Formats: sequence, C-alpha cells, structure tokens
Amino acid sequence: MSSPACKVTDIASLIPQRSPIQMVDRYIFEDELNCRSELTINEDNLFLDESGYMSVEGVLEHIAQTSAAHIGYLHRLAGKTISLGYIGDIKRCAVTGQMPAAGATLCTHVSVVSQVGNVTLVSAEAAVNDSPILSCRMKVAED
Amino acid sequence: MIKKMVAILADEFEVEAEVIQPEANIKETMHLDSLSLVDMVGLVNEEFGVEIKTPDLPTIKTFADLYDYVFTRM
Repeated sequence: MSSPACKVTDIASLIPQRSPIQMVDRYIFEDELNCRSELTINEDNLFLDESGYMSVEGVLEHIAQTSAAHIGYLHRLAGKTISLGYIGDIKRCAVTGQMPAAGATLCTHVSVVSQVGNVTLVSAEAAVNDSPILSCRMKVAED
Repeated sequence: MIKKMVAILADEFEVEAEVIQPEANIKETMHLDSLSLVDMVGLVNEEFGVEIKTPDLPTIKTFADLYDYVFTRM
C-alpha cells in the first residue's frame, strides 16, 4: 500500500467536518504510519478564547481530525469506504508551549502506534513555527 | 523479561503487579475493553518490538498466552 508522500488539499473528501468546525486545511501523507497536517488559524475560528488564543480543546480537535483524515486516506488507498471517526480517549496530554493566536499555522505530526479492529491509537505532536506546543496519545474509533 | 512485562502492564493499566499471574485472564485482570485493548497492543509493540496482529488477539487470553506470543517473536 506504500505511496510516496503527497499532499491532499481536498480534505473534505477525508473528513466530514466543514467550516467553521473543520480544523485541518492540509493533510500530508508520509507513509502508512505517519502523516502531517496544517491549519492556518482564522480570526473566526471557533476554538479561539477571549484572549484570541487557540484553546487546548481546539488543538486536540485538530489532532483528532488529522488522525481521522489519515485513517480515511488509508481506507481510500485500500479501496474501502471512509468511515466517521470519533475520539475514544486522550492520554499523556502535555502542553509544552503557548497556544497559537489567529494568523498562526498549526503543524501536526501524527504517528500510528497500534490498531485493533476499528480503534487506532496514535501519538501526536502539534507545533507552531517548529516549536512543539502539545503532545498526546489519542484513540480514534471508527463508526 | 516477564518481570519487565509485568511492571509495564501494571503501570500502564494501574493494577497491582501481584494480580498479573500467568494463568490470569488479561481482560478481566486489567479491566480491558475494546478501546483499551489497543493500548496493550501498542505497549507491546513499543516495548518489545512485537506487533500483535488483530486476528491473533482472540488466542491471547491469559498472560501466559501473551508471554508465549511475544517472547517467541522477539
């Protein structure tokens, strides 16, 4: 199933979320176990707090949508139907930097740790300007 | 090697190491559900470099089964 790294700009074909809840602009497939994504934060982003900074929940939603996009892309490569993905749980969440403000670009790397049936465990790290701001383990369950 | 496995599992799933006995049922002992099973698979993969295949999971019922599966594939 290996394919060269490629950028998928038609993110709507991989996840069901649409603006204003869509939290991934660009998805970059690296290999079966790894992907990256980017989100340029608009001023009207729903996850900005009163101070104008992205909330932790916003970054976690960004990671969840990145993970779901990756799982969906793997399904597409395998000729399968893309399912809805849900957050199963979140562990080892560490905030290591300041949350980004509007105008910043959030970049995330997601790595698949394991998969059992329709549940995928991923390790993720989000960064802004190459500085890590949050890392976690997240389970994504497919419908 | 078994000691290492027991310590890692006890820490991850927050159970006493003493309850992890070879003939004990894994799911019952560590209170695993369909979501947390993937944690065990990930842990074994990261710590021992062994990937437990989904179709093999039903055959791994006890900790002795898990040790056999992992240590024969390292």
